[in-house]
Amino acid sequence: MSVSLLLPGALAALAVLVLPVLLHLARRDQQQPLDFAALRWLPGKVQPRNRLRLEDLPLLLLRLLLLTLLVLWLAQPVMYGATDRRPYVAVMPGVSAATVTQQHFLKDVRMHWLAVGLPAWDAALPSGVQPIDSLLRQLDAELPAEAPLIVLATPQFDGADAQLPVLSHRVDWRIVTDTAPVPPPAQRMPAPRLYIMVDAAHQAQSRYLAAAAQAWQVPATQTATTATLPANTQAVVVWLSSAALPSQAMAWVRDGGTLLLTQSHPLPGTPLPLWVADDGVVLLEASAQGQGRLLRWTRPLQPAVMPQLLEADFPQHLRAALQAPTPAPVRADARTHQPQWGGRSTPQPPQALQPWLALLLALLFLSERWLATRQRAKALQ
Amino acid sequence: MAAELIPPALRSRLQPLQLLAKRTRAMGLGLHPSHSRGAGLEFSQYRAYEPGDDLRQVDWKLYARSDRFFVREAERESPLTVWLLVDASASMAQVDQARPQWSRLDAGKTLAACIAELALRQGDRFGMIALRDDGLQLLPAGSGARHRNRLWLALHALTAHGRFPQSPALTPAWERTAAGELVVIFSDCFDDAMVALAERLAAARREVIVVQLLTAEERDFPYHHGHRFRDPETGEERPGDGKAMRIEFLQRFTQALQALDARLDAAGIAHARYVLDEPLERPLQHVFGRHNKA
Repeated sequence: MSVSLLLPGALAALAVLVLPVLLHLARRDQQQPLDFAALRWLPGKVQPRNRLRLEDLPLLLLRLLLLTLLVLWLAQPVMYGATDRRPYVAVMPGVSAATVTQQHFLKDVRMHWLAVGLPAWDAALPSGVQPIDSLLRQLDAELPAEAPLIVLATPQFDGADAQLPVLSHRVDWRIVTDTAPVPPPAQRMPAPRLYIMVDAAHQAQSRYLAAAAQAWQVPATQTATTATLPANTQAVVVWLSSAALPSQAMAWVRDGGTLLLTQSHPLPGTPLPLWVADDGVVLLEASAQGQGRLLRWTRPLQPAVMPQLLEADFPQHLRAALQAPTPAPVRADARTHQPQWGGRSTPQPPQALQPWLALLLALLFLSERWLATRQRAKALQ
Repeated sequence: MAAELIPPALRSRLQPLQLLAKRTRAMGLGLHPSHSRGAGLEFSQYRAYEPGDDLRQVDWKLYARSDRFFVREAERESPLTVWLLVDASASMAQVDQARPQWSRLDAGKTLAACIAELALRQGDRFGMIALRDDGLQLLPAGSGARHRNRLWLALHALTAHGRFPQSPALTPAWERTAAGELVVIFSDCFDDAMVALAERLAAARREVIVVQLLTAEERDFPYHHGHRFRDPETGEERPGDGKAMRIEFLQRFTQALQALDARLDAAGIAHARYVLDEPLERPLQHVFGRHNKA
């Protein structure tokens, strides 16, 4: 544990200590002479004991101390090594309290949930899947090298990422037998069902979409433009017609539906690119409309102008544009996902002493004011 | 200095005091016993007839019994004349720092007014002489309430400055006072000329009482730091450290006071000492209370 200054140059301000000393120097030359009629009985040879005399020494010392601390405060003192070195126990979500109490620890440990914000073990556990690996790396960086790190892990946990954590601490990785009430793994969403509303002029273009739906193994429904819209807003309506949209179609979109337009229908607002081809050309763009969204082909669905229609991955591209991507797998087995040792240790940030000094300064200032005004009040009496 | 010279509390304490002198001059009727004998009310003694005595003073009844001429003498009571000699040199203006409104001169004025009050009550005459080197201020002796007002007016106007007068300037103090009269001196008695004047007045059969006025700072010397001490009369300055000088000063000052007491005692002068933080009636009781009991 050592104290050092971040701005040692500020110590030059210690020169200000001269000021109170000057103020407290008894200015003998400016003293008023004192009428004293019995002068002849004063011993004549006694000179003042010391010519440089300081008045009111306690107040002067207090002021010097105050100024010294103020300069020290400016120099930003910090303390190294004042961090907590107690063993750190990180409990994964899902480990029950009974299991934790069965564990044997050294006497004085800190217990925290391995969750965002590292809440204390007594506190409530935040809900949701916790980024365990990321939290482990954070803990490793924040803990001093001397503090042991103990992790109580469930046999399986969610929140792993693609890389095994490499830490500077040798983690005491204890796999407890508790099985966390883990949510079922996210399932791949079923492909959307296409409702292709097509007129005679665009009949040729609809075959590529129908083929894509065939590839998804969700057959498309092909109707005339005058047909009624599906009640299910999860479905995707493809409008292959130059005719204006019926008003109920717009209402259906605002309720949460997705509608795919031809290039002849401009989108309201500033559309966002949804599918950018390899050569940088935007093929599909989208614009939010109420709770749903409007999509628009930027070119006619003809292989001459849009060769992607003939590519083998057209169904995947179309599906990705219509659906959110599936999340990456986060579930890991605790036995195989034990953090490895060998990372570089992070130097601990020093603890700033400025707030404490400020408190001390305030106290000293108050006592200085009290001392100074008390003497003046005494003189006034 | 308040407009009222004598505070009410002090006035009530003046009640038991009386101005009494050992020697008085025969002149009219009064409180004071007189050693000059003659016609009067109070019988004193018989003495043998001498040629020239008034025949009316011969006690004829005693002549019938003893066949000798005896003259009957009576002790006459005569009014006393009190002279208030107030030192008004600059040193009298000295005050205590603890009580800067109360100077030595203020105390002297109040004490002088008290004595005048006593004299007024007894029907005695009183006059005032203020001693200062730029000329003595003189209030001729007189009696009565109007004369008291004149005295107060003179006392109010009195300020302390200058030095103590040298002996030629003191002639009025000689000329005005007569033998047997009471002379009360209010001074700090630091100036040797003052003590010498008191001695000479006493030697010339004036009844002299010296009230020495001291400040509390002279008694206690409560200085702890360096100061520039200045004599208010000579202007001489002496820097010094209070703490270092205290013991020696007090020793020397006490010796000086003892020497002064011895000198006054030797001259037969009654004396009292008043320090500015003491009650005012103390010097009066000390001087006049003793005579009262006798």
